This record gives sequence, structure tokens and C-alpha cells, in this order.
Amino acid sequence: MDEVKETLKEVIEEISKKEKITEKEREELFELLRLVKLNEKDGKFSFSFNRLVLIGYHLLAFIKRLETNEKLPPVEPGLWNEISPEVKKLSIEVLQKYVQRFKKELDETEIFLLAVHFEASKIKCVGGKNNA
Amino acid sequence: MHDKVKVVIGDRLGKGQKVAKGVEEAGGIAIVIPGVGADMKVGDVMNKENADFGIAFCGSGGAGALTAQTKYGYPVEYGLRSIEAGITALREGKRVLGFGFMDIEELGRRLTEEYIKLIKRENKDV
Repeated sequence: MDEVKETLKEVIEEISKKEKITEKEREELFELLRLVKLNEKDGKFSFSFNRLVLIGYHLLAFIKRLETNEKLPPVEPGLWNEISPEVKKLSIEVLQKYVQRFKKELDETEIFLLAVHFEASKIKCVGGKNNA
Repeated sequence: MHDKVKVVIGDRLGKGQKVAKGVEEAGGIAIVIPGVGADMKVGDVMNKENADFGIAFCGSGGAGALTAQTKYGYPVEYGLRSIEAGITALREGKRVLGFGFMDIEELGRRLTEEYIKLIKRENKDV
């Protein structure tokens, strides 16, 4: 667990080189990234350092959008067909708890945007062996 | 070599058609990447198509640009929120521009016009 904590701290440090992050946002980003990273346990996903940095940038933008009530455009029809129900569920699980704390509604587009990162982090199995 | 400016566009929400129209209005060739994760494929398609520059849309604008930088070493700028910021990035030599969601013709047109100006200036200086 300490190793995960250290990795996530390094990820946030990397992001803070480019983005301004308040102490509160840093804590919230850490918690969201921790929830993402937890999904590595069942062996279906792999989150490399670089992937976590990308997801971190995305989640920081999500936190800021929530702060400013920024709304996103809808997802083009058909794109949801390429997202598995399992990934959609994970995306909702990560974002829902956070959004509920602020008594806000979780936007479908936000679910989709994070789901794309989960799809990109799936471990593809070739010949029965993991091939990340 | 290609004579026309070639621009790759990847939008995570499946858009980008209006930006593409703007690119074409300015005399460029636009390649809009279809499907899920299009923003993260901008570097791949730029490399394959030998494109001049790329535009990635993903909310923060970071994922597409950073993936292109990591995989191919393209100079990138992301977190862009205005056309002017995009033009400045092009002038600074950035070749993958990461925006929030801005599928508007003016963005494609003005970035392509700026790139054409930059090329002409470079050719004059040589």
C-alpha cells in the first residue's frame, strides 16, 4: 500500500509541474487516483506511471469542472457501443462517490471520458498470457 | 512530401468535423480519427500520415498530446482553451495541440492559416 501511495504522490508531483494544484485538489486527486489504481487487483487492468499521469490530468480537469459547474458536450451516438458495461460501471464507481459528496449529479459525458482511460488500460490476453 | 498542410484531429467525444471543415476552408487536408479514444491516437496517425500538426480534444487536452509526445517526441502544448493560445503554441513550434472541447470551424481555419504563414516565413528565411 505504501508503494502505491508513493507512486500516486509522484504522479501528482509530475502533474503539478505543469498544472496549478491547491492542497485540497491534491488530496481529492490522490483519492480519485487511489480508487482507479485499486482496479489493478483483479488483473484485468494495468496502470503504468505514464498512464496514471494521463488519468491524473483528466481527473484534475474533472475536479476543476465540478468546482466551476462546467458542462461538457454530449458523446456522439454510437461511441458508447465501444465501451464495455464493466468499464462503464467502474467509471461510475470512481466518480459517483466524489460527486455525491458535493451533492451534484454525475454527468454521462464524465462517465464516458474516464471509461475511455479504463478501456485503454485493459490488459489484453494473448494465448492465455497477459500481454500488457 | 505533400503540398497541402495536413492536420490530424482526434476528439474523445467523437466530434471534430467542424474543426476539419475549418482546416479545409483554409486550404488544408483534415484527417478526423473515428471511434473511441481518438484523441489518444493523434500521434499514431500523424506519424503514419506524415502530418504537419495535430489537434487533440479530451477535456483537459492532456492525454492526446502527452501520448504523442511520449511515443513520437512531438513538441506539444495542452490545456489550451482559446484559438489565440493555439496560435501561440504553433508559433512556439508545438505540433500537437491539446484543447478542451472546441469543435468549431474557426479553430481549424485559423490554426491552418497560421501554420501556412509560418511555413512561408521559414521558406523565405532559408
